[in-house]
Amino acid sequence: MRYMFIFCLVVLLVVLLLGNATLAQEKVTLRFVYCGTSEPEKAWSAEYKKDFEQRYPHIIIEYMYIPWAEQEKKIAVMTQAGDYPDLIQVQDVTTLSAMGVLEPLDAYIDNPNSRVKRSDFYPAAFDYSIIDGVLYSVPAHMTVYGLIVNEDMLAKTGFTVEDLKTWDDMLKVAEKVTHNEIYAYGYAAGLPRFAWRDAMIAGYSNGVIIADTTSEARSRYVEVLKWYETLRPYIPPAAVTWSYPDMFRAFCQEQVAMIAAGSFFTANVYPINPSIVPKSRAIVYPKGPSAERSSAMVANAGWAILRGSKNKDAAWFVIEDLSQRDNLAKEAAVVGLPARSDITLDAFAELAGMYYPDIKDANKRIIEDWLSIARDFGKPQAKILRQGEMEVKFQEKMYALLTGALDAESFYEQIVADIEAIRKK
Amino acid sequence: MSLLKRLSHRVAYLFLLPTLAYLIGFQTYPLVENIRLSFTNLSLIGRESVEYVGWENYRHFLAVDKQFWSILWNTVVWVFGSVLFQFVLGIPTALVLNMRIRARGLWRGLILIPWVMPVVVVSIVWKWIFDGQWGILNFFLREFHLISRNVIWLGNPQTVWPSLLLTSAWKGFPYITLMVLAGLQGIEKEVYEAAKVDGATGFRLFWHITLPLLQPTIFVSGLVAIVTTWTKFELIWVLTEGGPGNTTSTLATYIYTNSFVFYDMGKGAALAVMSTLVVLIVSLFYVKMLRRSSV
Amino acid sequence: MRRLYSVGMRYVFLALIMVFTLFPFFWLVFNSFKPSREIFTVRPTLRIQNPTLENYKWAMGPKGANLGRYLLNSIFTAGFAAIVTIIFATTGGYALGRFLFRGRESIAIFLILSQMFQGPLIMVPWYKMASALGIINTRLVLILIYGTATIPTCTWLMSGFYGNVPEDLEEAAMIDGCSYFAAFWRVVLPLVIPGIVAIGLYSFIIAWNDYQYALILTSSDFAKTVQVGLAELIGFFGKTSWGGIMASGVLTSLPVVMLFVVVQRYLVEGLTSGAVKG
Repeated sequence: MRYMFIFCLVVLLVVLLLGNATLAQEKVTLRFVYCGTSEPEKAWSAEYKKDFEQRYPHIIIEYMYIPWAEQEKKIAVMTQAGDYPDLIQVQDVTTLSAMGVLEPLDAYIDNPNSRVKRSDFYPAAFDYSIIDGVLYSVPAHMTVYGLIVNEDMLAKTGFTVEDLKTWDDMLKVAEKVTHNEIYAYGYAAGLPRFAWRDAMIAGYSNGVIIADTTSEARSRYVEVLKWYETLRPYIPPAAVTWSYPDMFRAFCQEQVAMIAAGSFFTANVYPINPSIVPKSRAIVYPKGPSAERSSAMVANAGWAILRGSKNKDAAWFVIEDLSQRDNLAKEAAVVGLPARSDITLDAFAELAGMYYPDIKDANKRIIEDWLSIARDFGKPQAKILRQGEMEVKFQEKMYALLTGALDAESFYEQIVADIEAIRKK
Repeated sequence: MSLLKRLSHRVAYLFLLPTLAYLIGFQTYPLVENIRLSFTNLSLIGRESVEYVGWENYRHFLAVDKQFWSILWNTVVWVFGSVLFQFVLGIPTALVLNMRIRARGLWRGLILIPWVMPVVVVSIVWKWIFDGQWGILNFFLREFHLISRNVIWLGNPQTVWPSLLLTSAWKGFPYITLMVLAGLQGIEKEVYEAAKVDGATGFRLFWHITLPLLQPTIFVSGLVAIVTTWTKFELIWVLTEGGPGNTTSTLATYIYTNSFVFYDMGKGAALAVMSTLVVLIVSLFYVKMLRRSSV
Repeated sequence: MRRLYSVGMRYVFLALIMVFTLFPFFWLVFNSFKPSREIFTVRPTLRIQNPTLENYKWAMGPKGANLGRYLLNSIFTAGFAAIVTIIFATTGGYALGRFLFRGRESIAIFLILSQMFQGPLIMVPWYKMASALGIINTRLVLILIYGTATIPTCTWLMSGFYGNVPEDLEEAAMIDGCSYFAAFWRVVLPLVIPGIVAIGLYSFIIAWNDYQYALILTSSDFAKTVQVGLAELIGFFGKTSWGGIMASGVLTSLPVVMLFVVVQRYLVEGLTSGAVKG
């Protein structure tokens, strides 16, 4: 009798558990960490949620909006406390994957039934999601870095963008442009992140990654640092306090003629001064002395699954849906360039035009610029572990260099020591 | 022996109980956890196992890290500079707002604006004021021919501290003003009348009568201001992120950087413990002074 | 003559203080009436070519900052943080300010200590606690964590305020037959109203100005505060509505200031109405 009772209880439990499991499959709520917190991005995400839930009523998307600047921190705290959301929008997956909080996606994407394939994407953009051979995110939009030039300001001094092929060319332009508190080169050197990124872009044009401390890279690295030393008179002295918004503002006010930045340029300058876009062209950062050819850093922003998620299959299902051509194009149109290679320029420019109605053609031209930079010069952005820490060390020295307190050679010695110490940790 | 003293113990504990329960309930775990972490090498990036490393983290800052001592010094400058400026602004403001002036209530309200302005917009406006290329401050100074070239207020080691302290004073002085204003209400009119009869006026009245009577208020609000400034870092963070270089890093920003930029939670925790100890010593010293003066 | 001079001086000084205090706010208000593309100019000007209310519409509307919701959350959270603080600090402060008892010193030190432990390092433990209690992502968790930051200081402050109340008052009340608590409630508390208003304001503002805790511990619109909501508006990839952010800044500052214009009477006039003078 007693055994009977226990048996019944066990059966009941099993049934309940199974029932629960099937119930859970019927209705899943996915927590989606979404970092596009600006107005148009939020609007897009809300629209997408509505559309998706209409098509797939068994999956509910619940956004957690977190600004990009705070994303890693918030995820670090949440996962340390054992709380895992399901989906997350990511750019650089290095830190998050080193924290061990991202789910490898190779098995999902290589599954024959997968609705998204590796080959759908621009190779350089896709590669940015891979660390040590493991895929951690699926790209949505591509970020290409290059040099953005104010054609008008160049024309006034008798140059065109075509004249900018090498660092020496840039210097010639810089000498002419700089006068009367107008400067040639804007640099957001005030924040570690941007001080580093600018130098990364310049480094790519000289065939060196500025985290590379090997002796083979030495001369190229020093050349990059010397390049900033040379540029110093043509960079606004205030640049040592600037962040990206300040740099974009200077560019919009035509106080600097060139900035190194990414394909998020239009979105950033549009609200400050839309009429700057028709004057602007994006080109690959001119070639440094030691490179045979310049190259451009390519990154992406995309979607990833948290390792501790309990609904990974549903999360992947959403990623697949997000990666469908039309959905991806719409999302990318809000912010930059599509990461899928099968979206035509015309169709994409049309979509993007909705966000920039008064400068539709100019925006199309600059989209074309970026896509051709990516096609001809694109290389995946290097993924560097503990980059955040290196950036701090780098910026502190860049500040010294830009204020004339440090020369390129000693900068190099010091930064190499710092980077190696950080690597050893 | 007074009635109160006789009753004291039991009643005192009863009154204290809720507060202590609250703080012990909600602060003990974070506090103990923090101290525990400070003896581990917990790093969120690329380390599989967490080990206890003894005093290693503390040793790192005290003996190895060259920046620690300058950052400690920065903290002292930041905290005492801010508090001093807040008083320099706050006390006269309170005196004026205590006088008979038109629309006094309105001014008393408006003075609070810096205190309630969200940090995001504070940073937008103050960066705009201080910028070295299009800054408003430079613009005015040049209009009045006080300077001939733009000053990079936040990018120059000589001007960055005064600029930050000015902003911090601006953001924090309303609190001092309020406290002093409240303190002024406690001073009885007769005291002034008597002093006036003795011929004291203006500044001397303030120096010999008002200020001594305000002393308790000043001490208490000073302590609060010190403690608050010590742990707050948002303002520095949005204006300079501790830069240029490490010029304006304080312990609070350094704790933040170590834990959430470098993800060295163990080191960050050790820094937090040391920071607490330092401010504890400062506070105790302060309290001693307070007691001596009020006896 | 001399009197006129001193009256004049006080207005001159008032003007100086107000210019310094309000200029940044004025600049915010002024620019919030400009269309976004007119805001950023090389030379600051005091002319607006196309004045507009667009930014304010944006700030209040669901499309933009969704400010109403966040503002309510902020006022609710900060308001309750102030109330909680007042409750705990008036009682705790009374014990510390009135009595000499064993352990007083060490409790005082514990108070300062627990006040110090704020910032990044307590976030993970707090997140764990809040998850375990099921209050993550609520306004309650914010109120509780703000309490830990404000109660210690405010207990201190209150103990100082109690120190100013003469002891004979309670004793007299008790001789008249009041219980201890009745004496506290009816006689002592009314005398420290200025103190209560002061700590209430202090804790309100501490809670109001917090960004980090709210960022980590909340993520839905039901709990998010103004500070977090505003920080989100600055986009990295997406367009940032600078004018909208400025209008939002104005709209979030003003209600609190108005609140204070009403409250300041109590702060400043509280003592004079107390029995101490009578």
